[in-house]
Amino acid sequence: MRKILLCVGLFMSLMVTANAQERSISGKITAQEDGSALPGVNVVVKGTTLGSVTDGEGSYTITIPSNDAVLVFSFIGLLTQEVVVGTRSVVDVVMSNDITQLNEIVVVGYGTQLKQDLTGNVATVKGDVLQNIPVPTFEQAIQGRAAGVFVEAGNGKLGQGIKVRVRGSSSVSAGNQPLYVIDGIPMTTASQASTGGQTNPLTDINPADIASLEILKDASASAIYGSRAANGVVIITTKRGKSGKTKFNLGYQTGVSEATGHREWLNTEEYVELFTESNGGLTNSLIRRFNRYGADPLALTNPTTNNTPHESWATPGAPGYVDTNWEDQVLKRGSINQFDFSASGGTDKTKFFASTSYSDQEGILIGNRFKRLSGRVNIDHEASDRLTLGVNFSLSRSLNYRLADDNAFSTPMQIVALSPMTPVIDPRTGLLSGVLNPETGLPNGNYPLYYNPLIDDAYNDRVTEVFRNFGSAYASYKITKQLTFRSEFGYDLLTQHESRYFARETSRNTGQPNGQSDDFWTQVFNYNTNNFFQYTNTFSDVHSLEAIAGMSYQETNNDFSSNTGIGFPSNAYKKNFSAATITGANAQESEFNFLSYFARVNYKFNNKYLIGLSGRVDGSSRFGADNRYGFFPATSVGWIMSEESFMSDVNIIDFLKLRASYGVVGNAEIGNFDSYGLYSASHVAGVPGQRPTQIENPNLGWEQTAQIDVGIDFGILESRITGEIDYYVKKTSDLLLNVNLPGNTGFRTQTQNVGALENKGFEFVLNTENLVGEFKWTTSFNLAANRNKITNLDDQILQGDFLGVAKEGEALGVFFGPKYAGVDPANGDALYYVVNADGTQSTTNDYNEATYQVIGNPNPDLIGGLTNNFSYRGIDFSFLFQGVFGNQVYNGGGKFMSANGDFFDNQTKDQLNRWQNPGDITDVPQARLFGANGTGESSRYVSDAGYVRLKTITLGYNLPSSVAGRLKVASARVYVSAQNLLTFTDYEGWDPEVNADTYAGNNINQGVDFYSAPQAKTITFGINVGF
Amino acid sequence: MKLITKILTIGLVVSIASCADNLDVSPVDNVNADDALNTSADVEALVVGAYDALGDGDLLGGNMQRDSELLGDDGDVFWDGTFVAPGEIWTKDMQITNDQAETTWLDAYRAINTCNLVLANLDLVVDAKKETVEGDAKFVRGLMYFELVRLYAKTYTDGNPSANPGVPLILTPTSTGSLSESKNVTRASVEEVYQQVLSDLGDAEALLPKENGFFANTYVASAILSRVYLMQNNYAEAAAAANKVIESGYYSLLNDYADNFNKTSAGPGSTTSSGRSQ
Repeated sequence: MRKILLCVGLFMSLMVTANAQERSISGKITAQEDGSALPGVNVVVKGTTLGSVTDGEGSYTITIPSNDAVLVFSFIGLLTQEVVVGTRSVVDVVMSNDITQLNEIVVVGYGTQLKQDLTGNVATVKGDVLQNIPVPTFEQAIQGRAAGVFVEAGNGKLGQGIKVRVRGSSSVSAGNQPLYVIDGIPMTTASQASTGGQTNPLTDINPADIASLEILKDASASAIYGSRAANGVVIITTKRGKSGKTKFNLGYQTGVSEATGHREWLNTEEYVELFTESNGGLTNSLIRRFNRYGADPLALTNPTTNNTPHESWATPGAPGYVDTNWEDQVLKRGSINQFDFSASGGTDKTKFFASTSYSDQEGILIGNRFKRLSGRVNIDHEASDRLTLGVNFSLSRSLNYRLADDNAFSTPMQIVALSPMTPVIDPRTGLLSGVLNPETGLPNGNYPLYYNPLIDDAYNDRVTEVFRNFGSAYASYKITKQLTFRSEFGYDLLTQHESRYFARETSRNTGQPNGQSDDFWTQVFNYNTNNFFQYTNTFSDVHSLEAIAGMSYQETNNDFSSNTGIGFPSNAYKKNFSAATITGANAQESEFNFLSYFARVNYKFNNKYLIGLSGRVDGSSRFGADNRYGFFPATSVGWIMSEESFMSDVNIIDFLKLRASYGVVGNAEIGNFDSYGLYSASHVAGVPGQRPTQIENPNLGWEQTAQIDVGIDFGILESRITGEIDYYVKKTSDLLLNVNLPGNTGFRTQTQNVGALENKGFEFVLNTENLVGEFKWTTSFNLAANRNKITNLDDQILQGDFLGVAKEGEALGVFFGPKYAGVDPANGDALYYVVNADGTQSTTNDYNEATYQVIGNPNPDLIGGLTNNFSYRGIDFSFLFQGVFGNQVYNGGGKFMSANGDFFDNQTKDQLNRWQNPGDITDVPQARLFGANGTGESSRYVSDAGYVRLKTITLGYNLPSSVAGRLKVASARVYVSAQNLLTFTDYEGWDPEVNADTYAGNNINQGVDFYSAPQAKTITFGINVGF
Repeated sequence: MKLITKILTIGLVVSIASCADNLDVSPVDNVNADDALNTSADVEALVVGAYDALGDGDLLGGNMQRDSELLGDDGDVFWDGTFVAPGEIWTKDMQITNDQAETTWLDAYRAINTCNLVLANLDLVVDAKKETVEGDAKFVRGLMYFELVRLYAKTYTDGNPSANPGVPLILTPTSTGSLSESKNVTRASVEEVYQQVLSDLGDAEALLPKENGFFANTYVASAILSRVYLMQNNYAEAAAAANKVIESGYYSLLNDYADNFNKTSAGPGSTTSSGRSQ
């Protein structure tokens, strides 16, 4: 009995102890995704300061005050969980990824915001989708991922300029690319290339260093960047360390690439047939020409009397018969090898992220290669409770083995113009065709048909080396609990050396019999400081206020020098130290500055009503003395309807927000001195002089874009379905336009604020979690439509190259010219439409009589992307389809390559459908040598160029943590990935994603194909290891 | 802590104040108009600029002579090639889009504007050079108007030159303030343009010295004047002006006519040719 009493007593006392006293709880945290242990998870007893962190095995112990205790488990990127302990002593928790997008933190200018509190339109692309994409620059990796953001690589050359348009083109003469800001510094993004097509200074950034990209699209989001926000703002945030055990990541990928498309060309037999016909028979002069192209030895010794057809083209099957597919000579298999290493970690006070990366891509075009070596260190340190400091530093070196621009005989793709009867290796010399004429000892002057680009590849160098250094430091000081002052100073240093050597073997192209060499040095030093106060407070629990106010100053200095020399003893001497004659030397410098003041206030009432106000005053050296400062305000409102009590019964909808914004932003992307009156040096026979070259425009001011945006954000079915719908109208006025002046002024043009245009459109984003649980399937879809229209151009029509124009009432860059009406069945003449005065339509065979009309639009009607992600245990699979719809491309090379035998350029195979006999129905006119029959610029060379592309498809496998553990690594993933694997299009050319680099500098020139290289289709295999 | 706030605030104010001045940037590659014309040497350099403009490839550097030949051709020359503009000039069937017509016009007025700037800034020129500088500017301007009126208007003897429209006569430099007026300038009559040409070249003849280095001397002005009178069928004055050159004894004749062409060494001041342009 005593025993029993004792037991009861003990039991009761235990119970009392359990109720009234602390006890210890333990458990293990695992990831739902793959069951692996999660180290570093915060475990806190709710409402107390009692806390713990899981160890390397994912285990924790914590002391709780009572059974009522609620444990809160949290980790960045995972859904926070609250668990009531009750009587348990072991609490194991499985944590899942936080994919509820509304809780995301979004980086906005000079701060961050919760996505659900946003009243502006910001598209976020997380860094993880930029990783392991085998492209030189990150913009290519966001293609199809952000609604309303159009990305186009003009051709398949590596490291060249990429066109990015956020909600359409907002300017005719000034820049149309968005402003890029990396860790607070507005980047230098303009091409610095002195030679060839445009280069892309964004390629200097290692995509693996990027934590997130935020694209500020509407005026309320971007107005904080004021005068340079009209084309949208892309904020690049690099990765930073987190406290905890140091994590190492090692990645390697390797792959191969090839062209996405090919064209069909005439073979030798077809070529001879077509040109014999276009010449009106096989005359002696034609025989001599074919003999010349066919490398007949007599073509060198008896060029004017050699009238016997040579076997290279006359006798199919003969031992010397030649049938060269020139395209295959320049489109080759490329490769990629990339190595990434990063380490991050730190203590509570000091955190770091460090990375290094090496990438080597060989392009699909002969001679094209891009190599980049980069390193970065980002450090944050809390010096005290009030003071936080940090530095970012990155350095990269890139080497771009470049090619001539698209409109050059020496660019690889122009090789397709050569006759198929011309052998790659000239049998008379054993060298590449064109390198040597044994009769003269010099390169051939008229063999092959044109200069052979293979000679360029074999003998010339065109290397651009860029050193890029970003450095920045910040200090953030908490003046009070609510008020913080932050000061940032950063610089962007770009040093570029372009080096070229043209060998004597390439004299047919350069005109220099003994070689030419040049060097171009460019240095752009751009520094920026931001100083601003941040204030955050909540009053009476319902009024929440966030405000910033501050200033920013940016100065950019550009220095350039170059030298050119000719005459080298041999190809062993390549620098101008050895040149016989220095023929050119140049030195230039330029500068621009921006001084800005900005402020923003975001107010939230009762978690339901949101108001945002922002404004920026920008002053720039680029603008006229009388109009130097511009003010760019924006306002926005939001209403989180789902927080209203009347919505609480609508269970299906758990988040619904209406928002609207209006603001004015500017565009300052013009020359540094366009508002100035300028004199330039000139000379006559060595006597130096000067003369006026530009008339002052002291009133020159900012191009302004007023944008209104209304949108809905929603989340339904427990936010498994979330989305955004936006409609916007962007009206740009006071265009910075090069306006023609009356000739009698002595000046051609002046940059004035004249004209207006608008962009209207909608954007639709839908994210769904189709399957949750062990087998997961998520879908992300975006679609955007934009209509661009020039509303006022002072009655001018501004002409681009080929048929592109800027014209009132039309979209920027529409093709405006004669409309091709096919072929007259009676005589084979090319016909064009004439619109008569009464509106009726007739046809004419006189090109000059044809009516100019809009015959195509390079701006797409719709752009979009569809991403699907699947995961099951350790396996993940994803694919992205990207589409561009409703646009046309103009084939500028059409009049040479698809010209029904107008000149001796090899022709596309469809030219065999030429008209031959009366009654023939075809759209290829009769072949007439030198006849210009249908070769004028017209809609004959316009083609639909919409496309859908399987942009990225990836299959990956994460080793189970048990296996990883045995391998002594924290995680390991292997994957196989393909880029541009499939392209669906009606486009007749190589690839529908095209804009010739030669012409891309002019905004009007869009959708021009001019022997532009196709894109690369790349398959890679990679591995990532974390330890 | 208050101290830190103060330092920050002061730092901010100072940095803002100093930054505002930085918005005044002076261009380096080209010179700000305010810095271009301040000394005698600046104006003299402008004279060289005027001659450079005159010798532009689209003016007397080549295309003016070419296009005059193509226009004047009556079946003796032939134009072939892919350049559309000269072809249209040759066939006398010019489109409004003819870019040579546009370029010649623009470049000629560019030279004229430069001359007008010289003449408006003569005060800056040292006395020793003033006459020559004025003579140079008037020579280039007179010659340009002479070329313009022949290319863009009816011939002097075709109808009534006082009624036939010539080209706009611009005699003062273009300024920002004058831009809006320049849209409304009308064409002066052929007669008025010829009077201006005679006045400019007459002044140039009087002002220019015998020796003017690489540039036009008084005899070149006389030689061009002779041509102007010829266009007016004023043979007596034409002969008188030509005689001034012939009788000066300054020039000698070449033995071989062909030597007049493809000479790169002889400038306008050469003693075997007058008014040569490079």
